[in-house]
Amino acid sequence: MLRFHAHWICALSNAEPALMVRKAFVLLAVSLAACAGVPQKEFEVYRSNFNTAKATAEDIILQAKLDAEQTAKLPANKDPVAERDRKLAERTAALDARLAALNLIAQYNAVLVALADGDDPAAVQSNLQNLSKGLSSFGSSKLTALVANAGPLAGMISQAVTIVDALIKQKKFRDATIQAQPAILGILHVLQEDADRIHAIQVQLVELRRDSDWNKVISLKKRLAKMANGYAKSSELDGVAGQYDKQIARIQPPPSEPTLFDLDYAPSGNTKATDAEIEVMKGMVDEVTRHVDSYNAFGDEIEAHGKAISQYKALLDSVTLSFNAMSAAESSPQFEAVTQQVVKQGLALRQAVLGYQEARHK
Amino acid sequence: MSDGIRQTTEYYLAAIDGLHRYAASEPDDEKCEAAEAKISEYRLKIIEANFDDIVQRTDRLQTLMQDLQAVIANATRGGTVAGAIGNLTQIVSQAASAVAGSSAGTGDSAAGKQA
Repeated sequence: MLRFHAHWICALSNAEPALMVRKAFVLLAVSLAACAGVPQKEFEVYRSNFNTAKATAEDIILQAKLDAEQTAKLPANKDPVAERDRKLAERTAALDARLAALNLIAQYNAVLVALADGDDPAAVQSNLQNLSKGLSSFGSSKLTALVANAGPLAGMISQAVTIVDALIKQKKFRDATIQAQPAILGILHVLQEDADRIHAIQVQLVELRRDSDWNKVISLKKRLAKMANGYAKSSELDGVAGQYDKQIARIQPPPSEPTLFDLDYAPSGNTKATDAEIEVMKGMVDEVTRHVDSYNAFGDEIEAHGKAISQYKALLDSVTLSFNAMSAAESSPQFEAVTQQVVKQGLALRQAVLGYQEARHK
Repeated sequence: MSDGIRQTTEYYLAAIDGLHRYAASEPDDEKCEAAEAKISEYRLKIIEANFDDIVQRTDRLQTLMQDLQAVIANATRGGTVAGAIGNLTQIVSQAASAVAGSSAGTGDSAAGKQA
């Protein structure tokens, strides 16, 4: 850079410095016009998409860290304590690496922001004035004359310097975008792959809790069938069996085997159930109702998490698309379409995440 | 979903479904409890397989992060023209001090060296 600037000074030392600088300025202006410039619009869309995806990704990864802790403590986990601790530490470190990767991309984006922002022309002017002052105090008659000649052109030189700065920054911006493409897209791809895994983990952790409701309903079915079938058929007993069937029909999603929860209602006793015995059986049906409600709520939680993950993946896709659009620096109709798609996905993701949070707190 | 994980998940989910059916019709409570415990164990196997899949991708992630760090270092290295002018101003200032400290008439040659 110093060599470049020295070249300018040499040019100024010629007989017609003003002409030389004007020529240089014109050349630079032409060069600048020929360059596409920093793709500000594409960059802003990419950055906005990334920030939305980052906030969601952090929520999902932090939840996965809690899932890792929960897994280490599950009663079904028969690993020795040391092995559980080792796995937990390994999983926590892996998830922390994802958080670090997100922060690194944010840091990279901050560098792009710095490169996309032009220098303040006033600062450049100030530097130039300092240079003139420095040269004047040099005591060299040749250089003093040079500065005197250059003085009236200071504004023009300042503009030229600003243009060169802008060009350098544009080149750096472009280089940084092209060079980072494999790493950024690679990290986004890892996050995409993780999303399905995190969802599968979440589903099984919820299923473990949901199994408890399933097992209780099965157990109640057996007790109710055994008790009801021991009495003689009656309208009251039929009513209890009917209520049970209604509750079972509410199970969502229905079991893969439709007859799994069938009561096998076949009363074959000689005596009718007393009012008190009917009340006991109604109590069992009430208990079934509570477990079906809980079972379905867990189902809602799984479904909501699935929707949130699906939207999250779509948003990661959009970040990838918008990064590619920025790299290509094409302000095309396709890019406009991607932008609109991203806005929609951002809103859909927000709704999906809220839906998931609501389902969890039911 | 990778084939390995898909197969593992499908295998355990099929086993869980079978155990659910078995427990629904099994009158022996102890056998039912054993089946329920097995279901929990299989669910844990699915969870573990998915965590393992995340962990095994971490090396690739860290390599990508190192690549990105290198890009960041490159992008922030070196100055602009304005920065170069600042550097030059400093050099000129140092040279001017040196000239002021030396005898008259040698300024031009010192200036030539600095320029």
